[in-house]
Amino acid sequence: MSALFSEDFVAALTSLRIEARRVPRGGRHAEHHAREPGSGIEFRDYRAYTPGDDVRLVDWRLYRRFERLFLRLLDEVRDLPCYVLLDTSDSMWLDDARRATAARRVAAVLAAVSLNQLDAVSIHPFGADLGASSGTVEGKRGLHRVLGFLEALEPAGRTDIRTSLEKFGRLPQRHGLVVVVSDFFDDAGLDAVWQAVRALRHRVALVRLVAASDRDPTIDGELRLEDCETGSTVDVTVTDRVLARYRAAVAEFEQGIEQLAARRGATLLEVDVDQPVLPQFAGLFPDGVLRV
Amino acid sequence: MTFLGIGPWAVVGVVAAMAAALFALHHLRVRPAVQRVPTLLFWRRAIEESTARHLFARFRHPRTWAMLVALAGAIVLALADPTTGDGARRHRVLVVDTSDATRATRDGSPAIDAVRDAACAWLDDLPLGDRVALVASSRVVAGFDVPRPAVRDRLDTLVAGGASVARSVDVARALANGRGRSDVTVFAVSGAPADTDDVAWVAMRTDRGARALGAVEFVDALRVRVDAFAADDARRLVVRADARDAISVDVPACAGPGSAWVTVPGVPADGRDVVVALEPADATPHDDVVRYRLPDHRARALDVDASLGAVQWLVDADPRLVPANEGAAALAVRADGGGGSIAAGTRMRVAARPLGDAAATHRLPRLERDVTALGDGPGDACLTAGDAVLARLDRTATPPVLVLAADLFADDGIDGARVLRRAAVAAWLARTLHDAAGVVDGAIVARAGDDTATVLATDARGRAVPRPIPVAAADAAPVAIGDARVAFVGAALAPAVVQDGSAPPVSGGGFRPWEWLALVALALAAVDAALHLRRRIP
Repeated sequence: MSALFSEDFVAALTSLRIEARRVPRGGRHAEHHAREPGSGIEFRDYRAYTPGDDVRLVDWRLYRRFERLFLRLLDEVRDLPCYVLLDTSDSMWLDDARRATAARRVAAVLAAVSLNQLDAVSIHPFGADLGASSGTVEGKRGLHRVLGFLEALEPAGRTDIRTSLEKFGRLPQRHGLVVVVSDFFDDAGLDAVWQAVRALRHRVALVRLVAASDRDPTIDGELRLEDCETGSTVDVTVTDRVLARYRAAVAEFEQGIEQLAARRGATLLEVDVDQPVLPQFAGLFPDGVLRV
Repeated sequence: MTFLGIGPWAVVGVVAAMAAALFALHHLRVRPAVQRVPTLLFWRRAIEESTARHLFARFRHPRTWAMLVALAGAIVLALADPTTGDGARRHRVLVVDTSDATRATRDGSPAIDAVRDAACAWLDDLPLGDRVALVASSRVVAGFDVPRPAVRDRLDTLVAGGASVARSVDVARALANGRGRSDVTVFAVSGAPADTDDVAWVAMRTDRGARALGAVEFVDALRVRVDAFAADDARRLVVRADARDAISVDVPACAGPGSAWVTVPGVPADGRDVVVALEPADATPHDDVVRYRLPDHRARALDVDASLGAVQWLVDADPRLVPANEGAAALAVRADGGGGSIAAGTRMRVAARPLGDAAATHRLPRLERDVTALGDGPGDACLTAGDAVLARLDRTATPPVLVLAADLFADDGIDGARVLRRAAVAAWLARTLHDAAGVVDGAIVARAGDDTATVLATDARGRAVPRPIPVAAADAAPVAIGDARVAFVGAALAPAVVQDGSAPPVSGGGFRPWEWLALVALALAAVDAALHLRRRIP
């Protein structure tokens, strides 16, 4: 294990689960219960036979007793492909890469949970464009491959969420769960994020990385602020009034993210990059289960 | 070329030094600390909102900065009033009184010493680029080509006991004539002829007599100016018309120190010669006598052509009146309001000052017109001459008089329109910037080189309020007009330097290029501010 992912960290991941409210048809046998009955092994219910039903599901023992045809409905368990879109833009690597570290840990958590549930996982880093993915990883032993991929990630320039997600959407993928892990600091604004997220034909979860310094910066006086991604600068005299307006802008941005997630029907998680990730995830997973 | 009275190389040096200082300051300025942030999204929002609430925040815009620099440069140029060519270097003629009066002792030392000391001090304070000539005892002691240290040496060698200072002044005038911007400055211990009021006098205050006499005629009256160093009750002012009718003024003439104006009534303006004198004469009697030829102000009856109608009358019957719009003193009479105030064929009594009369050597022109015939009608009457004349009807006088501004400029060879425009702009600025009550509707008076012109404005209560307006820097000769309704604000006895008449500083018409530039820059700044506000106001 590396410094980024300790043994304890990895061991703690096994207690978490992701439950999808809807599971896509087809796919492999896994642990996600489909809403409709299927061809699993666990009994769910009986239903009267109607012409056209699969006769292989007829319970002949009941027929012998009641001379009527009933079908045995079985619970179907399928897999839920998990696509983790990981923001690796330059802003994530600012301040000792604390955002990137938190983001990779989040991705590791998600990957570990999914792999534990026999789901397929792929990591798609993005910055100005969609980067090379980790490929589909399956099986619990694939976690080390995911962690190694996360360890090797590099800064990927500025943030362009729309371009990256549109490119991801054009990839031939099974429907599954898309988790976007980012700070969502895109110069194009939240409209671009909305356009990108709206076009995804997957279940979507947004993991927003927040830092206390973003909401309440501890700076003062005459400053030249430099955007770490674009290099553009702004001269600011930081006063109480300016700080108040800054906080108002941040609050408006956060409210916009929440509205965006609500409109899309996506799950929104917030992870404080200055706090350990796992305890936060434990809090975000009620009873150890995240329902998406 | 001069700039703020500094020579060209000095200007270049100053500009270079300022540029170097600015360059150094630019590089030594406190630079803001650079702080890297994950995004500028929120900071831009914060700054945008604060920009809309801070007046000077818009100056961050480079275009506005450039405009400000241009505006500042134009204003500096307008204030500095740079000149080129022959007018750049001022020629100064120093006249030192070495007449017998300078032999007098005061406080144990001869008066000539005080004159010399004052002249030396004056000489030391002159700008280096100016050329100086020295005149004393009606001869040129040092010409313009003599270096200044040599001029000073020759100044130290002057002794009392020379010719009259009046002749020295004539020599100095001849010397300065044709030299472009030139001054004649006289250092004297006694008075001087009144017609030398275009030169500066530095009084040594060693004489108790009058320094100068001046006068201006009015209808049936004469106003005499007496500049005195000290009160001298022993002397009286005497006015003799045609050397026959001695009119003794029952007013102490030398009520000084300062300038005193004495009105001498009963002097008919009928073209006769008048002698004004201070009697008994003192040691310099030529200073105390001045001669005038009074203009002919006798009323003339004019038949007004009935075909012109009842509202507007153009008085052109008098051959001594030039047609309208051909001169600053063209005379036209108009009765506003109609209503039969002047019926066709009314005989109007118009007393006019003869124009172009070479004998009228007085400086101050007449300001009054007898408009008794107009005063009975409704509305104001005014005289117009071109587009530059302002006038007001003084109904408080008996009979009502028209106070003209344009006439003030006619004798001095000044473009009155230009002075009026400058004053109007200044008044507009004053009214706009300082929210001064009142509207400039009165006479605006200025003469060549005067520091200040006075505008008669009307305040909210309808009272006439004189407002001093700076017109140009240089001359500051005291002038009183009429019954002090319009008066110059200037130094009466201050040792001011008077511009020689050869190059009046406020002639030529219109604004200087720098002034136009400043006005254009101001207008652009106003447009920019308006556009900025328009963008900011939803």
